[in-house]
Amino acid sequence: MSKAKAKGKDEVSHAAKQAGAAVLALALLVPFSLAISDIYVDPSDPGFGSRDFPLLVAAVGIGLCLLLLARALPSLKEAGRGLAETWRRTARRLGGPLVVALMASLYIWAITLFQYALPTLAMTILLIRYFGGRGTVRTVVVPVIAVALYYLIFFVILGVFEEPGSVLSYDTYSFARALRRMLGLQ
Amino acid sequence: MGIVDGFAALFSSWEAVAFALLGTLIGLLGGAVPGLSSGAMIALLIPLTYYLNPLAALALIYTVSKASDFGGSIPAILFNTPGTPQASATQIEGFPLTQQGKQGKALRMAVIASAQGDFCSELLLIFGAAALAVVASKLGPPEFVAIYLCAFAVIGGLLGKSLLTGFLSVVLGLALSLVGTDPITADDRFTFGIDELLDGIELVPVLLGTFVLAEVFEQAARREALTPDQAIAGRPQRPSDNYVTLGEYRRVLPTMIRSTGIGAAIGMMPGLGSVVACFVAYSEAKRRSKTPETWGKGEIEGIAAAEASNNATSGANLIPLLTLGIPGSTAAALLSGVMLIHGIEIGPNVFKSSHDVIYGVFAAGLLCIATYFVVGYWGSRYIGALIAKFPTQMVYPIIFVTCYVAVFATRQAIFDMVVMTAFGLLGFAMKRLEMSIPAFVIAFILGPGLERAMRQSFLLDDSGVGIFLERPVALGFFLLGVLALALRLRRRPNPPADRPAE
Repeated sequence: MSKAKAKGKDEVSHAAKQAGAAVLALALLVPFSLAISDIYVDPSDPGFGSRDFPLLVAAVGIGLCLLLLARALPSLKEAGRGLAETWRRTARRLGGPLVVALMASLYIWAITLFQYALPTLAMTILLIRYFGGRGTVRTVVVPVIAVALYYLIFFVILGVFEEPGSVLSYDTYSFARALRRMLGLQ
Repeated sequence: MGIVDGFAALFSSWEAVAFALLGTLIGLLGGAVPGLSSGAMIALLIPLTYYLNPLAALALIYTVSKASDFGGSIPAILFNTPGTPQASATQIEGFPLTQQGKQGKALRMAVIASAQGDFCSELLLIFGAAALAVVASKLGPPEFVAIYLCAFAVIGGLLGKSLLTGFLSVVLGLALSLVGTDPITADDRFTFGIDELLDGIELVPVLLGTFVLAEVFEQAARREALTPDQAIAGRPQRPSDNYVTLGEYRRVLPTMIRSTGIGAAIGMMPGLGSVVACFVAYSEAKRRSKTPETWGKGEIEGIAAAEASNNATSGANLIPLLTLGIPGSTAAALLSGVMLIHGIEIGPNVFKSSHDVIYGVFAAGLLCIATYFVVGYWGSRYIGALIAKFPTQMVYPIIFVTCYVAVFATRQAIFDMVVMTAFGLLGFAMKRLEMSIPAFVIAFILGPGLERAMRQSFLLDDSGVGIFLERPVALGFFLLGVLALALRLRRRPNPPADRPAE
């Protein structure tokens, strides 16, 4: 690829990232701005009141977003069709994080159903396989040891309390307390 | 003397000493694992600190950040893969030495330079910070508004690929810091009907999500396993290939001293970071060298410059935090998070309100330097061999699961897991869009303080924004912020090698 073409590609990529940053920030700042009107203002509050700082932050943020979009859009318009290929490549790469985010959501939900140990074991095995780990040692032995270690450190030694699961429930706390007494930690 | 009280406080608590030593070992080993940044490591340990006394908690976090600065040089030298971004300059000279069979000399030069730079920076912190804090304690709300805004101008301008995205990262951090209740009226705001948000967004899920989980999502996007290249190590030809001779030490000593100065100066400035320090020191040492043609082929002076400088930022980084309450680096931001968790006031009054704890932390820093010097001088080859056996496809799944149990351990709240996941996705998106996560987190931590200072300032005086112009210190910091912006606008965007550590 010639230097000029490579430079052009870099500029388009940079512009796309700036536009993306502006869109991401607007997605957070617009609801934030709309919620400012719900903030209670004490009528006797002099000068800089409860709404003023949030208003300032929102105004600066939205102003920066519009500036970023204004800088990015000309380059993106010029890129035209080439941009569609960039977005398609980006969308393909998002598959991995979305899969992991979905697994994370299911993991959190499973903890509320079955408590900590079983969902964590399942999640560790799934993730190791997802990242390319194979073989019995990596996909079975390591997850079992990891979960056992976490249990020992957090629930036994540190005494973290676990809410009962709505499907499967067992009392970790009493078991851990007995172990802590045996170890002389309580 | 304060540091004597510090040693007394440290050694009177077995817990503090034990966790200082543990933090050193974790920093060494964790820093040596490519793909695990020191910020991620520290964020993972923060939930554990809930269960420790303040001195032990701070000693743990501080020693991890110190030791990881050296730990990252081990795979940089042995495997041509820096364990932490701040070891990138060390890799340039370190790996060629390994190929010549001089890995022992390279590792020992790295630990000598690291310990020396770190020690000088620690002395600057111990004797300089308290003196600066006396001056800083006389500042009022208008001055703090100016300092915070100046810090945001510097941090937002430097910690990001572009000025605008850097500032946008700061604004997002400020916006999210306002969720919860108004600090003066105590009315809820931005909670969107979610009761769990009434106390605001908890810091630990934000830190774990943005620093650690975001990295897991990033690796999921790439699905690449980072495997350290097996070192193509030559065999040592002479006994002196395994150690640094006295003649070599004398030759590199002026470079180490100069690089320590560079690192300390850069470390004191918010937003620059140890990556900038190591490359500035390396470039300066190469420029001054009488034999620049030997550089890039295994010049131990290059290792000395890079390592002395990147470790010299470690103590200096805490100076803006302890004197002005401004965390100027990722490690300082995370340390300030632990201080907040333990109710330790951040800012110049910390030397009065938590004298023993702060000097105890400094003492822990000195203990850490001595420990990693001993372990590194005799044990770094074995650490390298251990890391080479660890399959990196296992690192991210283990980190992922550790995040969830760690965040659950802080408040036993499932909601925190949800928040962490959300911030993980936000952090991943910010990384991809070249926004700055450290700038975002620093603004998130400082946001409430800035709002309080601003509202107090306007209550003090009816002249509105005139109050900032009437106070010379406040005006001075505003002008400093404008100058920093102007300098940033004048120079070209940073090439990737010079980007500050995330």
